[in-house]
Amino acid sequence: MSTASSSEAVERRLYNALWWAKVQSAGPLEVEPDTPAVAGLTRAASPDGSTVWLVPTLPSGAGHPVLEELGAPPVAVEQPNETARVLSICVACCWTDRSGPAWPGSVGTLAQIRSVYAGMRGRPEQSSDLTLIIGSLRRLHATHWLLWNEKAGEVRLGPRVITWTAADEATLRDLCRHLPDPPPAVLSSEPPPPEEPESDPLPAEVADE
Amino acid sequence: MSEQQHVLFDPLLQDLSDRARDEVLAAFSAVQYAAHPVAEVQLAGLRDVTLRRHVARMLKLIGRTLVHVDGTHWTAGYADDIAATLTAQGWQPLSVVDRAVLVLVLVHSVAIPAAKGS
Repeated sequence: MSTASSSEAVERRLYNALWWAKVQSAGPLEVEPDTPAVAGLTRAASPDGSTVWLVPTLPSGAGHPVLEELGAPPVAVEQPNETARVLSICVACCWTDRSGPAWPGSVGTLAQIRSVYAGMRGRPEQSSDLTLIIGSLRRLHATHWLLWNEKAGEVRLGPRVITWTAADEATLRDLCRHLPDPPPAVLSSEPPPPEEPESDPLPAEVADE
Repeated sequence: MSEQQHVLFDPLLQDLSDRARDEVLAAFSAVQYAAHPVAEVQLAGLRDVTLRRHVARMLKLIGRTLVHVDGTHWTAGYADDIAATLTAQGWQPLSVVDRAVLVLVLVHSVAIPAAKGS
């Protein structure tokens, strides 16, 4: 190997290692689309294409799922059941076109989440529900499973969902079928376009409404 | 998305037997993601020096290093050169509040005991 190409390889390794250290210390990072590729970091383009998320991926057989088998638990999540429930509700609200991948999905609202949550519990909303829901949304936002805009009361799926495999998505599709259907989203930031006759063929569940 | 190929780690793992690969990945996952340091005796990927060298190489690729704890356990931390480079670049992923909490933890767990001479 020539000196030039070996020093290039060293530089490339350092470049990769630095980006990996960054995503490990800060979580998935939103960068300019012209940022060169980093080996092992999957790119998830934001819906408008103005930025790209860098999300770490591991070979199959590595990562959190292995820890359970080893009896070496990871750092615990606060309120794990509640948090998982809220994530599944957000998947149901934001993954509207389930024939495609979950990322980037569409915008869901707090009103939708509250409605599905109450439906899931099979009872009218209680005052403590909102505290639990907001707490879970914040936790999921901090860990990049969701992008939660607290001011607008709106949520999107986070860049980490890009790591869901086809098998994961099949499980989640099934899960969504068992959850109550969310009411239509009423967005504060961008009002829905008035009438769109030439839009894509509507999925069956919209026609039912 | 298929996870059959991994651009970063595959060159390191491809020469290993399936069993050795599993051991290396398990040890890698344990030191990276377990809440506490893991016992060396518990994992072949840490016990076996050759396999452990593979774990260390995987960690090096992502700016990490193996850390020996109490002579019996292992965990992973940032490699010194990577930490130094990121610090020099002004990298700071923690919020002001998190940094303040960290300072309090250090004051109580390190500074005060040291001042008391314990």
